[in-house]
Amino acid sequence: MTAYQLQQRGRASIDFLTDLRGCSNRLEADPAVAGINPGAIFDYPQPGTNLDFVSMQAKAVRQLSDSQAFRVLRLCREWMLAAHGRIAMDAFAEMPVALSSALDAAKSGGSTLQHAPDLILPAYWEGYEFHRSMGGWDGHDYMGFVHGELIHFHMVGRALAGVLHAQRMAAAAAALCDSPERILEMGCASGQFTAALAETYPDACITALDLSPRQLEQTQRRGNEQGASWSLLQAAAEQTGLQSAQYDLVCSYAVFHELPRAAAEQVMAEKFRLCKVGGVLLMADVKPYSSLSAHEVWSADFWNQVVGGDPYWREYAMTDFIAMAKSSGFVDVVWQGLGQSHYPYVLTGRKPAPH
Amino acid sequence: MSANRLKPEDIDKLGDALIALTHELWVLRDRQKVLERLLADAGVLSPDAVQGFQPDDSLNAELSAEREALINNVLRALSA
Ligand SMILES: C[S@@+](CC[C@H](N)C(=O)[O-])C[C@H]1O[C@@H](n2cnc3c(N)ncnc32)[C@H](O)[C@@H]1O
Repeated sequence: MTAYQLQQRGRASIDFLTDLRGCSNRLEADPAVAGINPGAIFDYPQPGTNLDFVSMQAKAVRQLSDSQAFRVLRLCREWMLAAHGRIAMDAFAEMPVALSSALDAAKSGGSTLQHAPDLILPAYWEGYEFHRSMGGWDGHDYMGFVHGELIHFHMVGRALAGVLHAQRMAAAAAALCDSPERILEMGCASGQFTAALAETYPDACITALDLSPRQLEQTQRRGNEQGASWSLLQAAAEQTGLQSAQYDLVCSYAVFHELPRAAAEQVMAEKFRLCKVGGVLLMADVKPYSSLSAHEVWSADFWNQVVGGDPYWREYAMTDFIAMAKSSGFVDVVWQGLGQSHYPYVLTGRKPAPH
Repeated sequence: MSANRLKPEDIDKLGDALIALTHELWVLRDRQKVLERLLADAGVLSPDAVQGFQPDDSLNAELSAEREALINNVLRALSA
């Protein structure tokens, strides 16, 4: 990465966010919060079942209305959601101006970026602030750096030192693809998974796409700094315009939970189209509700879907992706959580020969 | 004279403002601590010294303990 140092305000602000999160997390142990149990139908619910989440959440909120711990926890978490994007942008603004030129220079190198100025951006994506991050994926001249470094690495990664990369390495290895020659990654954002793919499959030729030019630029910097020649393109994963049957591995990390169901189906079909015969599908993402107890379902759903700025989280978490992958044509489809923490959840499959 | 200058619907904003103030207060305390360290160490303060300062492990540990205490004080006040 381009060398940079957090300046005093940004560094102290990120320290503050980290500890506010740590201190407020302890409120989850309060008996009223820990005791929320929406009942057996929400216990490890089968994907595809129709459950009334709206009533479930309304009931939980009524139950929690007397819990001071819950009110304070919610106050803290919503403050962090609302504030973290601004704090990251402020941390960028106080860095020496020379950083911008260094970031511009880091775009030159072996990794290429193809823009698509005429691309029609999907309505579910454009202007939406996922995770309530100010500016969404694209709303700052250096949003790829702001998101990839200041939010992802410093804010999220502080409490998870080493874990974020290890999870991506595990997902890359789960592809069960001996030595893929050509890999396509959809929704690369600032290139965290791209880097793990490159580390796992050093001989592969990697193409990665995203809707966001600002995120792609950061992936380009990352690629160049590693001496890699990634082909990066701005495109919609639903309809990439790429030639059919070109890739040994078509993958994504933490993208499907940001897609409405109809878009997810299109992306799955597009992954199938782009796989070579015998090629591998890999979708790594957050845990589906079928892997969670009723209490965990309430918690994941409340903090992500209800207040977290992740409008398609619930839809993702209740979708039967095994069925979706099979109906797109994939075979040998498996969907499982990796490692002891069962995270991320990884869906793999293979494109069979036509018969 | 008047009670209820804030309306009940302001209460969430008050909570947000309180955390925002805590954040600002922390940033200042952090900065002050850095200054104290620098003054003690060097005796002379150059203009960029505080801005680019990176705390060492021992200062980080001190900052971390004080930061937690500050946050816990405010959360305790809200929960009282
Ligand atoms: C959570 S980020 C991905 C994280 C990244 N893969 C990593 O390893 O950290 C989701 C990314 O998917 C992109 N995205 C969302 N919908 C997309 C679509 N339809 N086509 C292409 N990219 C999309 C977003 O722009 C964003 O950069």
